[in-house]
Amino acid sequence: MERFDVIVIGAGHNGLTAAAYLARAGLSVLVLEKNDYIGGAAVSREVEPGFIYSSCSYALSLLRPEIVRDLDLTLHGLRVVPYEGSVTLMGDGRYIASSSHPDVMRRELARHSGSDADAYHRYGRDMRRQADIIAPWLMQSPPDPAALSPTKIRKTLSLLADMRSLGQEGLEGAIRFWTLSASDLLDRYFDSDVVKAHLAASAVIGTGLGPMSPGSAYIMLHHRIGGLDGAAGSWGHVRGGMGTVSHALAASLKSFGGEIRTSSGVSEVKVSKKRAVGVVLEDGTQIDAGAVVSGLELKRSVLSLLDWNALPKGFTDRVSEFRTRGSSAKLNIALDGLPEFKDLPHDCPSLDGDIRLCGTISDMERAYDDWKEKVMPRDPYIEMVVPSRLDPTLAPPGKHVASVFVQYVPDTLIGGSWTDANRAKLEEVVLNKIERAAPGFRNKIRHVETRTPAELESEIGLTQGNIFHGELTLDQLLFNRPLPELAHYRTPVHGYYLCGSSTHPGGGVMGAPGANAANTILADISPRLLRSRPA
Amino acid sequence: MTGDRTWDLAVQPTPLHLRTSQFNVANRWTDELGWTLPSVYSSIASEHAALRNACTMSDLTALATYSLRGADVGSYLNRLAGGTAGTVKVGASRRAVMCDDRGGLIAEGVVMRADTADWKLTLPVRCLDWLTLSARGFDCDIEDVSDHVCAFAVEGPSSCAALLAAGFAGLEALRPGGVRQLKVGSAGVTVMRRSATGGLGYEVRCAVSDALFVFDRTRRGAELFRPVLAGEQVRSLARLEAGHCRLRTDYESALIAREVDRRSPLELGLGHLVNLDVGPFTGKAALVRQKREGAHRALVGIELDGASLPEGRLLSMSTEIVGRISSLGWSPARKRIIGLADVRAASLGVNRQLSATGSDGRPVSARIVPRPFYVCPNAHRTPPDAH
Ligand SMILES: Cc1cc2nc3c(=O)[nH]c(=O)nc-3n(C[C@H](O)[C@H](O)[C@H](O)COP(=O)(O)OP(=O)(O)OC[C@H]3O[C@@H](n4cnc5c(N)ncnc54)[C@H](O)[C@@H]3O)c2cc1C
Repeated sequence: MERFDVIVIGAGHNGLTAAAYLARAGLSVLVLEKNDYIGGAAVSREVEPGFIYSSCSYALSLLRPEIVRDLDLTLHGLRVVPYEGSVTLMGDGRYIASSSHPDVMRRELARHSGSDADAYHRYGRDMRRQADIIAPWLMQSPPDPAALSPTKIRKTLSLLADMRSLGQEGLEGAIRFWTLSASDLLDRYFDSDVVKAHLAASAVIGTGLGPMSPGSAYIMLHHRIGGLDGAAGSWGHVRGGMGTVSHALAASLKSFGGEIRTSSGVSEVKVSKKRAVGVVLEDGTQIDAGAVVSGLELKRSVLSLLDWNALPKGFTDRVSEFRTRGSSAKLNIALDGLPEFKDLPHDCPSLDGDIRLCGTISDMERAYDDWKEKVMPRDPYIEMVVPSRLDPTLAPPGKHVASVFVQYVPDTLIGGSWTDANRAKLEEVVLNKIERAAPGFRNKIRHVETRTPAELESEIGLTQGNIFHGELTLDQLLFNRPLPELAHYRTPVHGYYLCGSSTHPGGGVMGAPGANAANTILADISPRLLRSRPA
Repeated sequence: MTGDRTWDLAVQPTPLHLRTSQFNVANRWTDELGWTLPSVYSSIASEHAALRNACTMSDLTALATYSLRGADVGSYLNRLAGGTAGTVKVGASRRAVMCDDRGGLIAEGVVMRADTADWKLTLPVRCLDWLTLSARGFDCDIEDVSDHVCAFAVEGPSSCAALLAAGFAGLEALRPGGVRQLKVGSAGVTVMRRSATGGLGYEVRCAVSDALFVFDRTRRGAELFRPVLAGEQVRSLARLEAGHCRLRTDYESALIAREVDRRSPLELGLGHLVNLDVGPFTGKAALVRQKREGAHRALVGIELDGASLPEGRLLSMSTEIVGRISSLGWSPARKRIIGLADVRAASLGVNRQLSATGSDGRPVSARIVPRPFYVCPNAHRTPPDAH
C-alpha cells in the first residue's frame, strides 16, 4: 500500500499552501482533490471558449506576502495587477469613484461633503491602527487565553502586551471596532449617505450580517488587512484569473517534490487507536500517511470524513453549531463589449476596480432583511469587476469578462431549494439591476454562469455555500475559530489537522490558515520523522 | 476606448498656474494638499539669494483656508487652539497650534482677522471635520474656502518697497503680524505681514477670479525690485533656517499619525503658542500633565560639521542612538549644514557631543544649537528698512 508522510485533502489554495510548506520541509506530501481541477474557490475556468472566469473569488488582497516570499510564488507564475480604486453607484445618479491618491480621493469625497472628505483621513488612521493590531496575529496561531503551559502563556501575554501598548484609549478603540455595526462606526465619522454606503460595502461581503448588525464593522477591517506590496488594503486582479494563485502554489509544491492527484475525492479518514493513519478514496483505494490534513470546511472535515464514534462526547454537536450560513451568489459573464455605466464617464480610472451597485446603507439592510426571510432577493447588493480591462489574457480582443458578486442570497429559499427556475429568476434580478446602471449591458452578453450557494456547496464543498468556510463574526474568530478546542489546527484525532478557511484567521485568498497549520504540523511531527530518517 | 479624456479628477493646478508654469524654467513640480506647485523655478541658489537679499514671489495656494463666522468665534478658537488663538484683534494675526484631546499636535496654523466679522484660519492640513466637531456648542460657522481664495507671498528685504511700488499704499506702517484690506485696481486684497522664512515678508490674498490680475499687477509694479519666483524647495529651506518645524517633515498631524509618531507642541518647541494658565482648551489636561512630568522627546536644532549631507538619519551619542534627524539642509545663509532632530529628552543637556553617519561611513559630529538659525532684524522693524 502507498504511504506518504502527509496527505492533504482538498487542493484549495490553503491545502496547497500547507502542502507546499510541508514538502519544503522535506516531507513526502500527497494532495488529493475531488474535482478534476485544482484551486477550490481560487480557480480560473474556461466555461465559454476563449473566456476565462475567476469562477469564485476574483479580487486578491489578503494573500500574505510571507507566503509569496517563502514559496517563491512570483517565480512560479503569480502576477498581480493592482487596481487603484473602486466605484460606488447609488442608482440615483450619485457616485463615488475612489482613488488611492489621498488628495484626489479627498476631492471626490468633497463633492458629497467637505467635512466627510477630511474625516476620511482620521477614519483611515483608525482603521490602519486596528489593522496593524490584527495583522501580526494572522501569521501565528491565535492566542489561547485558557492555556496554562508557560510558553503558551508567554505567547498570549506578548500578544496581549502588544494590545496593552495601545493604551487605554487604544484598547477601547479596538473593542469598539470589533463589536460595533458598520453603520454605527461610520456614523462616528461621516454624514453623507453616499460616503457611508461606499465604505460600508466591504462590511457586507460574504457575511450573515447586515451593515446595521453589531460586529459588521470587523468585516471592514478584515478586508482591509491585506497588503499588496505592503500597502495595506490594496487590491489586485491576478493575471490569468484567481486560479493562477493555485497553480503557482501547485508549481511550488511540485518543485519541492510534492504530488497532486485530481478526481480523487476522499470519503473517509482512517483512524486507528485514536490516530489518523491514512485515507480511503471514494473508489475504495486506501492510502496510508503519518499525518492527514484537511483543507475542507470544518463540518465536512469532521462530520463527513471521521467516524463519529471515535470523537469525544458532544464534539460533533459543537461542530454542527458552527455557523456557515451562505449569503452570496456569483455570476460570471462573457461580454461582447465593455459595459458602459450611464452615470460615469467611460474613462473613469476607478472602473478598473470593483463597481458596486449598492444604494444607501438602508437599502443594503433591506437586502439583508430579504435574506433573513429567505425570500428571492429583490434588490441585492452587487459588486462587479471587469478584470479583462486590465488583463488581456482573459478574453479575446475587444471582448470582456465580468465577475459579478451578489450579496444576501439565502442558501435555501423559503419556498424550496435552488431549482433551475429559481436560479434563472435570480439571474434575471441581477442582470436587470446591472442593465439599469449600464444600459445596453444585456445586449452584450454572450454567456452567463450563475452560481447560487447550492452550486458553491456541491462543486467546491462549501457547506451551505458560505464563501469563507464559516461566518466571520467575532465569536467565530481568533481563539474561537472554528471552535476553542480546534483553534490550533489540531483535532481530537491525533495526527489529523485542519488547514482550510474554517480555521484562524479565516476566509479569503490569504493562505495564512494553510501556512499556520503547516507550522503546527511540523512542530508536532518532524522531530519524530526526521529522527527515523537516514541522514 | 477613445482617445478623449473626460475624466478630470486629479491633483489640480492652482489659480496662478498659468504664471507659475510660464516662469518655471527648471520645470520641476511637486504637489501639496491636492495642488500642483513649482518645486524649483530656476535653481535653489538663485532663489535663495533673492529671498535673502532682494525679493521673491511664491504661490501659497497649498494651504487650507477656513472662514469662521458667528458670535462665538473668539471663544471657539481659544478652545480649539491652545487658549490663545481667539485673542486676535481686528487687523492682526497670530500663530496658533491645534491639538487633539491627548495633546498631540494636529497642525500649526495662522488666525487672521481683517475686520470684526472676518476671521480666517489657514492650516497646512485639511480638517474640516475636526473643526466642525470642535464647534459643537459654539455659535460659529466654519466654511472651507480654500478653493475660492488665492494666496501668494512677497518676501525678502525689499518686499515692502516692492509692494509699495506696486500700489499697495500704506504698507510701510503695517506692523509684524498686521492685516490690512486694500484695493489693487478694482480687486479687493487682504495683506498680512508675516513670513515663515525668518525675514520680512507679506502674504497677499484675493478672490480666485482676481488671482492672475493681482499677481501680474504686483509683479509688474515691483519690476524695479526684480522679484524672483521662489519654489517650494527654497521656501522649505528658508523655513528650516528660520527654525520652524514643518508638518509632514518634522512631525505628522495627530489626526493621521501612528501612535509612535505623535508629538505635542511642547515636544516640538511650540510651547509658547499654548497658554496653560487660561481656561479649558482641547488637549490642555494632557499638556499640563506633560509639562509637569516632563516630555519624553524634544525637537532640537542641530549643526553638522563638514559640507556634505550625512548618509544616515540616526543620531547617536557615543554608541547609543538617541534620536533621528527629521530635516537637513545646507544653509546658504549660515554656510553650514543645519537640521532639526527628534531626540530623547533624557539625552539633552548631558554631554552634547552627538554624531551622525557620513557618506563615507565615518561619524560626523553634530551639535545641538538654539533655533532659529537665521534671523533678520528687518522682520521686526516698522517701517522696515527700505532696500
Ligand atoms: C463566490 C465567491 C467569491 C469570493 N470572492 C473572494 C474574493 O474576491 N477575494 C477573496 O480573498 N476571497 C474570496 N472568496 C473567498 C475565498 O475564495 C475562499 O475563502 C478561499 O478560496 C477558500 O480556500 P480554501 O483553500 O480554504 O478552501 P476551498 O477553496 O474551499 O478548497 C477546498 C477544496 O477541497 C476540495 N474538496 C472538497 N471535498 C473534498 C473531498 N471529499 N475530497 C477531496 N477534495 C475535496 C474542493 O473541491 C476544494 O478544491 C470568495 C469565495 C466565493 C465562493
